Amino acid sequence: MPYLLRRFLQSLLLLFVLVSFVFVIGRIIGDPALIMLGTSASETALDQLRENLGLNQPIWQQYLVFLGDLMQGDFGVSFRYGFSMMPSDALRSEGTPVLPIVLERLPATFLLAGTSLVFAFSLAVVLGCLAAMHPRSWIDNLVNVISLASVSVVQFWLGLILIIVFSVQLGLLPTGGFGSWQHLVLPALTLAARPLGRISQVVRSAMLDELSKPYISAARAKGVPEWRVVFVHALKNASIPIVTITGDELSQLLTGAMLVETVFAWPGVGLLLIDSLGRRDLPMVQAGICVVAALVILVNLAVDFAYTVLNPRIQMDNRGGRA
Amino acid sequence: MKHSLSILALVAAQAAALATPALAAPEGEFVVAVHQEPQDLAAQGAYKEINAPGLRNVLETLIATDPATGAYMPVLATGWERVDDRTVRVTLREGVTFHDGTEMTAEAVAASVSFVWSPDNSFTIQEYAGPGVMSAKATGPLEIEVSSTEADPMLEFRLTLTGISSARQIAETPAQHFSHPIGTGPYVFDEWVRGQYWTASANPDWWGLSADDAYGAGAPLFETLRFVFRAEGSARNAMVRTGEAHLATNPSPEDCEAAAGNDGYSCVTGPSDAYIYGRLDQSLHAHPALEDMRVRKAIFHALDYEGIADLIGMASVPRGQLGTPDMLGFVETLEQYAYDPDMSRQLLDEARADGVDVDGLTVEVVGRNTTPRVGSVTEVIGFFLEDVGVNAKINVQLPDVFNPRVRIKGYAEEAPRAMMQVHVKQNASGEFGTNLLGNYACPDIDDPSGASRSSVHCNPEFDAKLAEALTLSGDARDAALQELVAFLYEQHPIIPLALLDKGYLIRDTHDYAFGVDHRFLAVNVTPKP
Repeated sequence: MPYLLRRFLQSLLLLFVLVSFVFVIGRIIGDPALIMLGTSASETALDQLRENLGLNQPIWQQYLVFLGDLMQGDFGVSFRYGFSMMPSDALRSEGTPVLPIVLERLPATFLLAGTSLVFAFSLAVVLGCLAAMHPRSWIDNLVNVISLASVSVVQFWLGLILIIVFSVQLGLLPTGGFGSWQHLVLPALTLAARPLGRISQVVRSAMLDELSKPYISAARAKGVPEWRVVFVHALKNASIPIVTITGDELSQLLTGAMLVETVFAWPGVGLLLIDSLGRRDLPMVQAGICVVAALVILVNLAVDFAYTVLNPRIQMDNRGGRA
Repeated sequence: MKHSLSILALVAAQAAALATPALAAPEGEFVVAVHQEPQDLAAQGAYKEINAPGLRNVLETLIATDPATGAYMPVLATGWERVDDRTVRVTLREGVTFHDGTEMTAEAVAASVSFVWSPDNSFTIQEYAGPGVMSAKATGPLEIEVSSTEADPMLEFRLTLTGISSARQIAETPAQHFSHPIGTGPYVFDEWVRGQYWTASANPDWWGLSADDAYGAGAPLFETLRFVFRAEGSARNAMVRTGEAHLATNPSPEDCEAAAGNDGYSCVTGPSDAYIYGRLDQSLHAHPALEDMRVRKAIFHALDYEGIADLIGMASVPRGQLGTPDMLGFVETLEQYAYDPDMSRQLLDEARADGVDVDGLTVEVVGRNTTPRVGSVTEVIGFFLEDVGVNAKINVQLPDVFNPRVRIKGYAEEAPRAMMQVHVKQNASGEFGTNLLGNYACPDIDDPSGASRSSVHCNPEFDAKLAEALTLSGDARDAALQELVAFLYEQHPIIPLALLDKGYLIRDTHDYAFGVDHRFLAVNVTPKP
């Protein structure tokens, strides 16, 4: 079976397991009706919601209905997003479908995560290469300090510090919100910290390996310019671990945007999920988790696809595992 | 003679009109950084400052409460009177139009009131519902009767919570009611950009522009209002400091302290309807020592209330009762329990001498982690108790753990205990009735969702008097509630720890005066000269 097809099927299986996990978690943490309406809710209201969500059915039947609905892209409706409580019978059909709301928030999260990744990746490659070109020099030490600090810093704290410095003290950028490129700068910088640190470490390590190989010495002996040796020959061959870590970091960005979106009021999926958790909006939380998880799986699949482009031998290996 | 009087009245009216300064046209945008995005903008949420901050600028109520005096004030109603113990007759203001252009008729208001209070809708406002089902009907062009299926002395109060919105919208596009409020207020709703903000524009047809009893400045001064959602308190603070917002809700005490020494912005505080208290186990299977009045008294006098209020910040010392002077049932003569550790030690010694197991008592001081400064407050209470010789252990718990423990069902399932719940409560009712019922009436294990489900106090004699008081209204209710509050003061069941103030951070370009309601109203903002 072709490598990519096998990875695709594995991803589908993973998605199925994950969706089932979300369903199970939604049921074992307690009575979903009680979670959504709170302990002060009357039995009548609880019964109404249980009936409305199909919670009175046997669990296997609920699971089948849940899967059946998912196949049709139906994650259910929210009675908390845009509604005060259980609306009347007349309005119940007006409950807000959750999937369109989650999808509506995705572009903002993509924009933030994408900008952060582009910034982090570009800077990390430069820093990692510089460090690898001058091992154990002050440049190498400086890059190590920057990467370690970036990985270690708490995003929430970093976000607030950036607001105080760039917005309050210097008055250069808005404190948060959405709408212009200025609004994007601080959240993107905050979110970029961790991938910057991790990617630069991997670039440095991979480039150190490559730069010590004989073909690099040969290229240098032939008089190939140093920038070309490093950024064209060595970097291309060091790209597989870099792509791996970048894909991993993109997944982390999608899931890790929650805190940053909250600090900067960035209207993405993360902020929606945090709000929905606060409102105990179970259908919205389920939809948000499933969509983000599906994206993470998709990113990993794209990374696998990138391997086959970067190293065609991977496609030939049918015995399992990456070459 | 009659003709002369008419001419005189006409001249007087013209003179008054000439004397009234011309109202400035609304200009600019006023930005408010609010602590959360509203769940919806339905009329039933007009009373909520926490869940729907700013909504009261668009939706108005028939009557409102003056937070300083507790008196009811006219808004969309110009008068109201009791018909009987189930009915209030309300006279509506003339010439009011909804933002969709429809006239505010008696039918429209009646439909709006009935919609908000309909049990079929199960709106969260039902937590303030009375003993019966509330509805309204038109009885004249500008007159409605609001009634309850049961005797309800608090009907007027419930009207202060009821946002009045367009009946046409409710009838024709009910789903829009939740996202596009159509009211009568000084600002007209424009748009709600989910996850970011909602906006409203000055209402050029607001009835308050021509009425001499309008609340606030009497005119919308800003062309637009923008309510920006910023959940993070430090970010809201930063918005005011940078000038991105003119006002921010829910500042922390530290934010207000920092504002005091800053030129660009300040913190305005006013009374709120929230308080923090310590509720001691006394019924069911409480530790026997807590049943001894001297031990309870010793605990009450062991605490330095000034210090606790200072520690909480934006708080004041209560007057021995869970409420403020504007509330029906407030006893003017009561003062807060004195901080007197020597008296506490003496009382405990007396109890010990009589064989009360004081040394075997360990009070578990438990706070919910959402209570302001709960860690410090529980710690300091523990310190004060230990200081007079009462063993204490402190605990801060998540709502999921804490909430069931304060309810009778959870209490019943626990081993015998001596718990002091450090808790925040809000009393929007403006009186002690629901307060006493919720906190002091005997809980019923067979009715775990009953009104007294969180009470740890039980005195059947008190319950009988309370039941009687709740059927009364006006001065009779006030007197009956006062008697009960005074009685409880002597029983030492619940420690009023602090009254919490409400605060806003505001740019130095503007002033804010707390006016009607406890909610943010843009007409209470005035630009500084």
